[in-house]
Amino acid sequence: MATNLCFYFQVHQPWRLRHYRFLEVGRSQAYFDDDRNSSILRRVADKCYLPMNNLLLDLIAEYKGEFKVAFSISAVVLQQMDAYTPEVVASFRRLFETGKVELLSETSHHSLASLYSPQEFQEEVALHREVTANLLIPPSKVFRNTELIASNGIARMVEDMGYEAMIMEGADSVLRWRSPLFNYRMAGTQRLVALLKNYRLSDDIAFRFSDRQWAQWPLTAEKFAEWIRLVDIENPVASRGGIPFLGLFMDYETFGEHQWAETGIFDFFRALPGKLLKAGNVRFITPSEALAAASKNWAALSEIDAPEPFSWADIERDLSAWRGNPIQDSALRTVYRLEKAVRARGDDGMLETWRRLLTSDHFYYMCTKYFSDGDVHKYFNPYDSPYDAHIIYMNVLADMAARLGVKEKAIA
Amino acid sequence: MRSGRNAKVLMLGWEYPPRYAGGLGKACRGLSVALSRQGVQVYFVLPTYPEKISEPHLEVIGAKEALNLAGWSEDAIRQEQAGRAVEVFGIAANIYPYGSHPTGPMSDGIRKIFAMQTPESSKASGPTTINRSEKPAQAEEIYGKNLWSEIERYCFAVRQMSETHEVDLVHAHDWMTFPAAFEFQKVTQTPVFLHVHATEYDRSGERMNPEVFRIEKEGFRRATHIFAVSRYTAGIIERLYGIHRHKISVVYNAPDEDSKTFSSAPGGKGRAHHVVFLGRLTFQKGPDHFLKAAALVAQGDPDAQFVFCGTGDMFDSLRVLANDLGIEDRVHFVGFVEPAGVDQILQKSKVLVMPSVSEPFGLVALEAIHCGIPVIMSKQSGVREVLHRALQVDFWDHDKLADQILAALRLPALSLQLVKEGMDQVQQLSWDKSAERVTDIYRQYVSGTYADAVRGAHGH
Repeated sequence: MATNLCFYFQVHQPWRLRHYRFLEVGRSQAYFDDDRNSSILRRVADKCYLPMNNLLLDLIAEYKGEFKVAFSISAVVLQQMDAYTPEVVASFRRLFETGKVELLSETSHHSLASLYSPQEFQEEVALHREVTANLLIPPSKVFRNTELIASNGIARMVEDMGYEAMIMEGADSVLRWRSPLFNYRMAGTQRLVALLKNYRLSDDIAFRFSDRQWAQWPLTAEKFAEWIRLVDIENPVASRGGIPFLGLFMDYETFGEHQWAETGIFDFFRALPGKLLKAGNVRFITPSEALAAASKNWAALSEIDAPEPFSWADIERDLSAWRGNPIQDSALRTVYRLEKAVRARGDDGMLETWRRLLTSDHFYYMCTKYFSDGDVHKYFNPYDSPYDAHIIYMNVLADMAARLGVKEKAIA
Repeated sequence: MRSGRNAKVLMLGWEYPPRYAGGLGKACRGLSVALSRQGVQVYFVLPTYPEKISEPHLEVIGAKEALNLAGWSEDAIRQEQAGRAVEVFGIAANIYPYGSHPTGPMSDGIRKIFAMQTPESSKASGPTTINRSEKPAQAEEIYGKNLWSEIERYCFAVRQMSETHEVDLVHAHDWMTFPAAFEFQKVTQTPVFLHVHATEYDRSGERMNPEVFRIEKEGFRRATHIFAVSRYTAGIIERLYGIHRHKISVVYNAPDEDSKTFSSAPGGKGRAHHVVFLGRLTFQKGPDHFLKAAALVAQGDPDAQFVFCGTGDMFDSLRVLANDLGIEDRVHFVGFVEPAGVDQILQKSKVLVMPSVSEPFGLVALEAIHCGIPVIMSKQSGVREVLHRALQVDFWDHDKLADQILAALRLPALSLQLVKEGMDQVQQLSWDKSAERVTDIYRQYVSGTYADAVRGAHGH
């Protein structure tokens, strides 16, 4: 039996804040760091988006429909591409026009709204559909929440919006003894299918690829294809008539940014589909194809149960990257406390600004979990420290609150 | 030398509680007590120390008192010194160790010393005694206005101690004691370890006193090994004094062992919007930077008050600056504050600001955390190496400093977290750990029986 291999890449960049001082409250509404945001996007476009899109186009042409991938692209990164690097939007459009590339549905602003405001969550999902339909293609019926945050409750909301499958982390805490190489249904939903990430194999590419301390370094396409072949042989699901599924999910910036071109990551990926297809037991599928297969065998799927939210972040795979300390909690509470006043104002520009402040990255920058080591949390972090990130964020909120006539005491 | 006995260390210092002006005294006590706990016999010698400490493995002695005990009269000391002038790397100068300079007209006696720029003239006229009060512990009292002759007398007394004290090594704290350490070595061939709590660069910046610099540089060159209170300070010793990094080890300070943790929450009631500066009012501590940031803070927080604890040569100019900035009614100069008073002030305030231009360590940051308030430290501070979960800023970045102060005043979640995470880090530090590192290094550099002795001490 063949392994159904699903590549899914996340594309996202936040609207980073500039060093907005408290003394600017009431004087300046220029919250975002246009220079930094445009230069980061330019850099990532040159190092990752453009070369990798071209590579994928080549592979799709070369393997004549056998090679497929999926993307999630946040509206906030699309807005920035549209403003700073329109050629990247055009490049993605060409990819989607091949018909071999699926676009997943998500929140427009890469927010944590699913945890704080059902109304905002629904509106952002609709907004994402609108923005992507306008600039790229309409997204599919498969949903991916911000940073793969999922729970029974979130899955139910997602299903209520008409989605049939959701991308999730194959977290040990949720799977326990069960294999991630398999599709599941989600507890508490009618028919929602969980498409799980295989974090070991995904992270071999996303995090370990260039790690010279890693026993498997250097990772070649041959070696990786062989691991996947072995996965199929050892797959306990295949023999039981289940639906084998191998989810390789990662940041798109893995290619050229997290792993520089000099590490050989592009050469690796260029060679990989050929090696996999040659083995004969691997088939590339999109999330929607996986969903279609799983729906047919709905009764055969076993259930996973997640009363508490889990995610793909850090080793904890919980929410602690965004709300694990008092400054994050305080910032999140404060910004969502402004929701009512923002909506009441009826000002679209103000609503959009507020939404840009909901993007999860702002809270990620305030994470102090691993503050001692230089790690992935530092990546693209525009601030000196998590505390400075908090200060700048709270300064901006103080100005928003003042504009909305909300007393500062009431929000701090 | 008998084997199996405790290692004996002659510690040379200028401050020791209750006679201290700053962090140096506290650090000296912390380290000495922890070493004695490990079984190392410590003889701690100050220029004068009327209070008597004699505990198992730890004796704190005033050099003057020790000489008197040995039957030396003031006259005898003077005569002896005049005959065998102490040669301190051939240097004499107008020196004042911690940055501030004596104010007011010079006395004739001091004028006479200033005239002695060479060892020759020093030999001719001999040291001048001035009346010194024994009790007060402020900088002016400890360091005197004729520090040079004080150092000379200290050298003499320490040399005399070679006749009564057999030790394995000398451990000298900061430049005032370096000459005495090498005087002792001249007689006994004992290895000399220098401990650097501050360099002349930290005290005076670009306006370094060349004689003090030379004493430090020559001392570093001759030393068996050097302890620095931070990597930051080790870097200065390496770059400015040209000492090889292998010769320097970093030994961090630790909080006072009797310092209590106060439960009062950072945002809690009973804390006014007080922003505190604690330290000498000298260029290197950056009080002027604090004041410039304060003027911005005052615009953003009508309740903010700014408290300067400490004295120093910038007092007058800071008052003028506060006036010029139009915040004189918000700024309070409370002068020198006793240690107990420091805790009281910190417990009633919202944030401590340490905007030092160059700060080798910054012990007061640890005290602030213990008192439940967050610290804003300059990036030019050694303490950030052990307390990096703190607000940090370049001392010259007044906008950012003001923003951080305003945040500490208005964001309770932030202050709470900074204190909690800071406390977790402060608790990693202890004088026992630091003392262990020191004895490890003693062992590496002190050969044969010395090493056995130190090892024996560890076995307790």
